[in-house]
Amino acid sequence: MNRTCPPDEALSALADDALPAEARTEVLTHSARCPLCAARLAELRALHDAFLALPAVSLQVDLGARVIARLQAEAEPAAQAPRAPGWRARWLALVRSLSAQPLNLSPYAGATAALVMGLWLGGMLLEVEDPPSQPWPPSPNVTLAAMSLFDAVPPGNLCPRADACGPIGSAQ
Amino acid sequence: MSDARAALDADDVARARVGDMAAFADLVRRHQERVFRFILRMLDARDEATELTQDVFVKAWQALPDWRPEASFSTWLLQIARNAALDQLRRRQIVQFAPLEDGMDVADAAPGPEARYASRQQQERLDRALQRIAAEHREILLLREVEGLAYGELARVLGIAEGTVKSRLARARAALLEHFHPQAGATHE
Repeated sequence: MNRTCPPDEALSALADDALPAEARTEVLTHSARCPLCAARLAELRALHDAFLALPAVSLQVDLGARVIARLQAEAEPAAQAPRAPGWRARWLALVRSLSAQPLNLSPYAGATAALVMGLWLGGMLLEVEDPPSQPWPPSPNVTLAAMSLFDAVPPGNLCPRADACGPIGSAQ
Repeated sequence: MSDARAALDADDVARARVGDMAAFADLVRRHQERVFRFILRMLDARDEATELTQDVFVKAWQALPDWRPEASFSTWLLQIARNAALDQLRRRQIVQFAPLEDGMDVADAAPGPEARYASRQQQERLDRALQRIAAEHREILLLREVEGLAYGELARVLGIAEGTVKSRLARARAALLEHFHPQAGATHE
């Protein structure tokens, strides 16, 4: 192509029949005497024909039914969402139902009573033996009352060593 | 597209917008082949194209409130299809020009002994050449040459000015002709 040749864009638009009448005449007149532009225009038109000759492709399925089924399937979980609350909502509902119906507390009351009883008994075991004669703060001689139940030396036995029978001196 | 068909589309869209799924199913059936054909040639993978065509219609259902009667429903669908196809290609990371494989010269004419054979070969060469040009060139060529969109519709679907449509089409054709030499007259035999 030379300087007087129309741009490729004009030839492409001519092949599309998308040039205004005046420009179309101008390009056609030029192409009639320019072998390069004539060849390019023929090539563009042949390309268009090649596209037209492409085999038809077909989906061969009823996409309408499939798409509707998919839309309905996606809509169902959204509709069911309020009926499936999260753990927080379930917990709050449980607390509300318990406070609204105190008579229904029996299984929980039993468990709570057992827990309180356990803590109370454990507390008794942990009572500190603190004779009133001892000064404050307590000396290392303080022992747990519970531990005196399980003294290492049975009553009446002698201690093998002076310090082996506890701080209070169970060997005494 | 005929005015009657456009009116039918507008009527079905109006019904679908208020939740009439049967009307939307009619729209799908009326446009599925066109959307599928475009996506298939963009992706060159049948199963993928079938899935993506479904996705396009699901997206269209969700975006129905955005549709305006000024735009052809068909063109609007192609716009969604185009975006979906480009997204898919991006996921595949093959949007950019893919060079020709060694030893594959699709520009070579390989005329067979019979015209039908030659024509079929030309179709295959064109299909292969289409996959070797940039996606932005392929989409505009398919929309223009296969779907027959006017320049104004191309501008709307691609989101570019009409002047840009003209220059991009010229560049796309030049790119395709680097890989495909049409044999004038072969398709008319």
